[in-house]
Amino acid sequence: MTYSIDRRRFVGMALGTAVLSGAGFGSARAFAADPTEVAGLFTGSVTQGNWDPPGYAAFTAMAKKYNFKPSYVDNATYEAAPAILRQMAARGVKMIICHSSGYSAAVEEVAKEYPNTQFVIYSYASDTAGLKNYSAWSVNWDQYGFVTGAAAAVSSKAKHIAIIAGEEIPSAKRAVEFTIKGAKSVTPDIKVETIYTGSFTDIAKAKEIATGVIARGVDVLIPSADLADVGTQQAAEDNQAFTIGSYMDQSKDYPDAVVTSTVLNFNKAYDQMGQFFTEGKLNGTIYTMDLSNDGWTMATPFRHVDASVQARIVDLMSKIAKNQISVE
Amino acid sequence: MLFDPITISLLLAAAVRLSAPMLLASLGELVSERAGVLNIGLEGLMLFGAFGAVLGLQESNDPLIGLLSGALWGLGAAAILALAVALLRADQIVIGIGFNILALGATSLLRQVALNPSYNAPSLRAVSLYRIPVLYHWPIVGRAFFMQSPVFYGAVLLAILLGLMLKYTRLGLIIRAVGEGAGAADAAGVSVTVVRFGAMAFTGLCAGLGGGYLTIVASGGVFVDNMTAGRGYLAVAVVIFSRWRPIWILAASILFGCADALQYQGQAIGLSIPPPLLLMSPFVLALVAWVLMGKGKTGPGEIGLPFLRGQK
Repeated sequence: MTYSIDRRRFVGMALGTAVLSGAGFGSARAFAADPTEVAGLFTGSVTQGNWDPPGYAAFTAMAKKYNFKPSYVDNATYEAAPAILRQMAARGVKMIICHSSGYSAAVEEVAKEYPNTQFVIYSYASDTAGLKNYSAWSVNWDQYGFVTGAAAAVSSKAKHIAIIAGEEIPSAKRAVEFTIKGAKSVTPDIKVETIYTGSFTDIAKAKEIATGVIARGVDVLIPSADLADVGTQQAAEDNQAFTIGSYMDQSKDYPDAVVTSTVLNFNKAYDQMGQFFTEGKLNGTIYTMDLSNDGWTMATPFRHVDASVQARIVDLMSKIAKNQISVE
Repeated sequence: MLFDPITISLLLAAAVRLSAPMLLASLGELVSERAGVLNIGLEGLMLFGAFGAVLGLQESNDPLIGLLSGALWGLGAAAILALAVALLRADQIVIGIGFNILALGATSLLRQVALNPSYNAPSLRAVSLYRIPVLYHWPIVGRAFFMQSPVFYGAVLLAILLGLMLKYTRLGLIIRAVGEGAGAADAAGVSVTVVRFGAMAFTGLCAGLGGGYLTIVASGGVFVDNMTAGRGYLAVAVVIFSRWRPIWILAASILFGCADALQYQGQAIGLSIPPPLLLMSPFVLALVAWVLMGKGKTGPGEIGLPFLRGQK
């Protein structure tokens, strides 16, 4: 059974725990029979969107397979992360998995203080500060953006696509940059519009934006605004345009819009975390998740487009995986 | 040409669509403020309404019942808020801010407990679009003003009726009297508590409907956490910006909607302004409203002040 807690309840419980510990009522006792506790940290709700839910599912599957006792905190903001990580490590959690690269600063800060706890980042990391208890599973986002852009461009009959992004943060800007690069690599004269909604939750705004760009001739959209992507998908379905889904196969949710989706192999990454932790092999390494090792892929079959579109993208992915094409 | 007729038409249409939830919430807020209550909890009321609308839609498969449910959830939430503010005379600002934080957590929890994440909404066209014959063909403004949700038309009508009610009816006079001088109104036999409670309940009804519009009309029947994204705060600014006049609220809501729409229409048409600057524009307008226009003579004299009998 999974124990769930959100940030607000967590703060209350943390305060309560601190009071009890200070009074001598509580102590960090470990029983030999207790399963090892592992914890997950998620930026949003584990029941909404297409980033945290599949990550959470992979986390719980891993915990079940390796007989860990799982717990998690969702809606954990980056600024609250150091306190949450400290509290978890102090109560004896042996491995803490943070499901966003935005937690890297918090992990770097806290991991030094708790050498007996393994900290893991899933998403992206360029270095782990030389810490043996800080590892990362890092998706090759450049590759991801490049192929997404190429898939949208090849699917576009109007040679006019749009990226509907959330907030203009560095990782989003980089993803946009490589998406445009990928689109232009297959259709040099493609027109790419990039619009930031300024929010990851405002569905109405994303829908309004998507409706507007479709009216101006865009026929394929790349939703990249997390929870607000629902609006982009709805606008595409309402106006006979198409989309490239993200992180998980979204064709069941939006059958009239989704051509294909990027599918991150969360299960593989989380399973490796569980395995390496069990075998004592977590040692500060960064494991790259890319096309060459099934770190991610595109959902097949492609819908609403000619078979040649899928063939071109599969061929592109194969060449990138074999280093025959560089996305840089 | 950056601003060709099609672009202007799209911009205006988007502005009007985006203004509708703010318009509804602002009209509700207007009545509270006219009665002397600065209802900062508007954001939370909209959030409860947004959740309630999707719950109603999910249970009935009828968008009209969904909208009604949103309004009633707003009303219920407002009753709790009014209990603290009008009845117990707590600090309006502090309670309002606390209420918004509570609403964020509560609706997130309720969503997890009560909403089916795989629910597919039925067709929402009945509440999302009505073309007014002939007029919707007009160039530029046709699409913007005459191809909108029936809820928007209802909000326009409400603005007109509220204007008449506040100016020409006994009820309007009582509401304004309580906001201008609660002590004098009390001495004249008016129950300040009842008036303020009723005004806040009306605010909840309107804000709840605004939240319902956001989820059912503008978001296809989907609720996500914190989806009001600051619209409640902007609605408070709209009321001040419009000098507490219902018809001006209509214009100010569309102006704020324009600023909102310009954020991304500007990016799409290649305006050489950095996106963060465009994204700030509605909030800059809100700041202007609060700083420059918040202290006008037309504002209710006792806005934000709890009524304590015998105290000046």
